[in-house]
Amino acid sequence: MPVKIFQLHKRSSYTYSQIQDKFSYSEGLKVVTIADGTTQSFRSDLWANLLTGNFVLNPQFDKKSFLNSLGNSIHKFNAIDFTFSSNAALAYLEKQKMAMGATSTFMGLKFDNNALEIISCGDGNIFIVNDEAKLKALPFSDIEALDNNKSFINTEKYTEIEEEELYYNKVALDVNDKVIICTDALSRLLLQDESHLKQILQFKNYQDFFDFCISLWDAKKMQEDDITLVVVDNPNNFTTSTFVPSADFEFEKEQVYEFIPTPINDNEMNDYKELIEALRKEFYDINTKITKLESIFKFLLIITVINVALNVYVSYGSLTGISGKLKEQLKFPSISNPIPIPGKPKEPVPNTTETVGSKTPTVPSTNATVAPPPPPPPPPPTKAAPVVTPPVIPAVKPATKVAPVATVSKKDTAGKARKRS
Amino acid sequence: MDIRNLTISSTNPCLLVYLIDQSGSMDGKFGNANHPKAIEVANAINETIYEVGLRCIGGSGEVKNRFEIAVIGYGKDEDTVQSAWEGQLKDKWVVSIKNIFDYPLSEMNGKPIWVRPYHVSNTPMTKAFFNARKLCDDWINWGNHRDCHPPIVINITDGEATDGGHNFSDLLNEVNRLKSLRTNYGQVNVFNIHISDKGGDRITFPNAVYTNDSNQNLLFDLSSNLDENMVRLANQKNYNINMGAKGYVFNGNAADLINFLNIGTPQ
Repeated sequence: MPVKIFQLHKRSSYTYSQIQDKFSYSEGLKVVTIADGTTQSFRSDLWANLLTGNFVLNPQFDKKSFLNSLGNSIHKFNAIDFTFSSNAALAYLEKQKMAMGATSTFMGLKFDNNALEIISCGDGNIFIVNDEAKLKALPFSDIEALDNNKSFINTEKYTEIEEEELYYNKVALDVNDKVIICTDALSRLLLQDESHLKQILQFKNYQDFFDFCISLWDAKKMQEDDITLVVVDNPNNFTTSTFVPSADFEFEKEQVYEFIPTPINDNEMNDYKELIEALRKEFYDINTKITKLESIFKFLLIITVINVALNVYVSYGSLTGISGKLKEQLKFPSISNPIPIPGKPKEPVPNTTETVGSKTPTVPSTNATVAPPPPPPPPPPTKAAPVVTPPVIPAVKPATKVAPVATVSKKDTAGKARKRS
Repeated sequence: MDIRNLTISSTNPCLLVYLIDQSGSMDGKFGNANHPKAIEVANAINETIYEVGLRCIGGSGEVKNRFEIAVIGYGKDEDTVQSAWEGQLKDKWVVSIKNIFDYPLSEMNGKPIWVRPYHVSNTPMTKAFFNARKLCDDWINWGNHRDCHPPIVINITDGEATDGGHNFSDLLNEVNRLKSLRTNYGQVNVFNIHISDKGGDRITFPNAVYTNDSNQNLLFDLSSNLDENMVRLANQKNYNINMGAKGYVFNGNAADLINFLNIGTPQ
């Protein structure tokens, strides 16, 4: 069987009558064509059928001639009297879809005197192989190039097709060369994994092809799409055999289960929010307590630092004489002995403003011109602990003149401090 | 599993969840247009459903269940989130595209519509995302849905959540939980369309935003990165975007909204 043509429809189409891939051939002209009607366009199956059928009747491999020949196919397509759904929404959809046109890829090949002539538009591909390995992949040698090609022939936009969007080539074939032609899903697989090429060359019947497709679909290795495969074992003997599903074959319709979500419980969201709120409140309570504790610790720290600083200051001052000033600053005012001496009449409170010569016994003021009492002896020289001189209260003598009760006047203290420094 | 080998089909459908802000502020004008933001959003949703329908209608006119769609409205009543389907579909949360076309709500200029505009109360956005998470979680664990394209959640709003919590932590947590759900083909995608009454300064699919607008920053942060496939689709629609771009649009016009939604709708 020199030329074998295989087809299988995608499972979601159920029956072969729904397949949108089409093929045609002429044994006399040694021409074969395949076209892949796009699923999403309007009646693309009819358009693909017209494209392949008309090409076989009038093969055109010159790009310009090919584009000109499309007019005849489009005229036939537009002449079809389409009927629309009785459902208004669906009918609107169908009419809009029709206005967008039918779309298909196309590939035409002619085998002639050990040469292969190709014209193509879209993502079909050709693999030239021998018994050893793949020799060529045309038009696309890798999957990225194939995926990036978005060329189609559309009934409403065919005049916009640029010649650059078409692929033309004429390649020489060796006696032992075999040619594999396929639509996009299988092309993609073969570009990813060449090992399947040998497997394809071994196909003897429809079952081999069917099992191959199903296993790859189940394994998710091949895109589930309509599949068309043409294997040309011997280009010089163009005898064709077709292998397609039988008329009564139908893929099992999957049970249609309407997806019904679990009823959404509004309280669930509220419960969830309440939980979050409770956690947040708890967090804030803890945070507030921590903040209070922080304030207390800060206060205690400040007190401690001040205390330490004062101690250091006082200690340092006692060594350097500054303590005298501190003492002076901290010193309480002079205190008279408030405790009356038993047996002595209560003396009047001395008037610190009394002038000299007054007959009334007085306590001399600090401004008095009377001679001051002798200063106390200086403290023993030491560098150890600071020496704080307690106030000396001299004994009160029974005389008309009362000795001053204050031990050291401000003046004296200052003088002493100056002496020390 | 390589998402490029995945075909969205009736056996491997995809879930689309639209979250629509129906709060009182949606009464404001949309950009430089003369109609309210609420009308713009309803038009965009109706247009998108129609676009999805175009992708699902078969050669012989039957609509295939390649997509299941939820439209969740928030703010129509105080602190309330509800399914935005009306008419025959009222009270359903997720509806197959076939049933959606079987039961349109009405028509406008001959075109079917399913969603009407509302602008009523506050903005319980966190609650809306909570509902979206519950739906997605249920959907992923239903039948063979783990072998399907991950759900796509598209939030359309003009402002800030009124139930976002302190520093929007509740909202962020809820969205992160939603994003952590996944099928064998990847994580749930969360996209945001931030519509505003301000004109100009349109931003589409940015890699970063530089603004003092806290709402804008928040919605940008909430958005998932567009995956490789989506970046490719966006560039095919003449958007100049790079890997790492986020599914976020600020101040986009109606065309951006629809283009964005189409990008979010895998082919």
